[in-house]
Amino acid sequence: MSLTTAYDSKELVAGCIRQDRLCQERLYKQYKDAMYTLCKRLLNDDELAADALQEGFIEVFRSIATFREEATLGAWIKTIVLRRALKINSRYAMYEELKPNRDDRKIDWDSSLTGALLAKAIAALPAGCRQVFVLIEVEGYSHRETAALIGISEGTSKSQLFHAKKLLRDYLKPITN
Amino acid sequence: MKQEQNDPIWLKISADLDLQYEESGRVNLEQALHTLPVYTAPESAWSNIVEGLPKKVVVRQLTFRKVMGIAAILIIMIGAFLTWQHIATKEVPVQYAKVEQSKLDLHLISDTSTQVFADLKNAVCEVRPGYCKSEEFQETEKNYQDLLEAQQQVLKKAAMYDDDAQVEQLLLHIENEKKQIEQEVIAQIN
Repeated sequence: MSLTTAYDSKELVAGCIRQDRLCQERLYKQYKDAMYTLCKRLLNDDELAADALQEGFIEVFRSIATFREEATLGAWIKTIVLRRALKINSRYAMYEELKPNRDDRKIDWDSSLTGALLAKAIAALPAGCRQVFVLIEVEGYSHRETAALIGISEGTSKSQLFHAKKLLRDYLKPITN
Repeated sequence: MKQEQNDPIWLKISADLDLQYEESGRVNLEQALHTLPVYTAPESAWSNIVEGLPKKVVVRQLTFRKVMGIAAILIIMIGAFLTWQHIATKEVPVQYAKVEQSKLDLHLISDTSTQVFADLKNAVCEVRPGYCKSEEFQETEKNYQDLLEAQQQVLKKAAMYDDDAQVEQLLLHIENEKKQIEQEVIAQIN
């Protein structure tokens, strides 16, 4: 266990409320990589991901006095950073109107699929459907939550997820077969 | 959103969307999702966050050692400043201070000195009236009176200042000069 994770989250929160730089740094170090990974998966750009991370943590430290233990500290931080990333992504995300194709509705995930391959395929997705896929499949949000977070309808969320999966299937097919 | 959920047409569309695709090998996807790479946040991010935060210095409790350290530094600085001021101005700051006991003694000696010299003069005039009226004796008497006057002036000034080694030295010097003159007069009597 690292020194930072061993730190009690209550102590960290209290320190951050006092604007103790040492506590702020400890809290940041505890969550930075997980939050940066989330931003990178959503935004598929190092610089934009870093921007989302920085803006998100500045907001975290500014509003930490409002943190109530209804959720875990990690979940609270994740919500703030995620909203920042989605706000940045909203400049690039487009949601194509998809026409259902009854003949093309089978998706088969090959056993040779790896995390690295999937990450590459996710990075190749258009911004709109990529964020829906990441939120639902990677982060575990429901369609309803995803729709509320992004500001789209639940139906758009469902169709974008399907679209993302078809694109992933097409991207991965020549590699995995 | 709520309106969408209750609308029967929407419910039909939603159900249709759910049935839109058939997914197989889901376990392979989930395994891949669990092994997605994790990225490391850039080193520069923290310094950028700090720049964006309000500047506030955390006031930590001062320990006894820190307080003593600060006090020692202050004393050294004040001492250095006063020494520099003393050297730079070459003037002793005027202060009201008590006159030291040794200075009081000197003052008493100075008061009695007038009587001492008067006694010596009477004796020398009685024994050697010629010498008593000579220019040499008159010069000696004048020198003695000048020394007494100087001694009075120095004592007067010294009463206004704190202890000063130079003043002490000057007073002792005057006293020695006076004693030397007294010895010379005594030598004439003998």
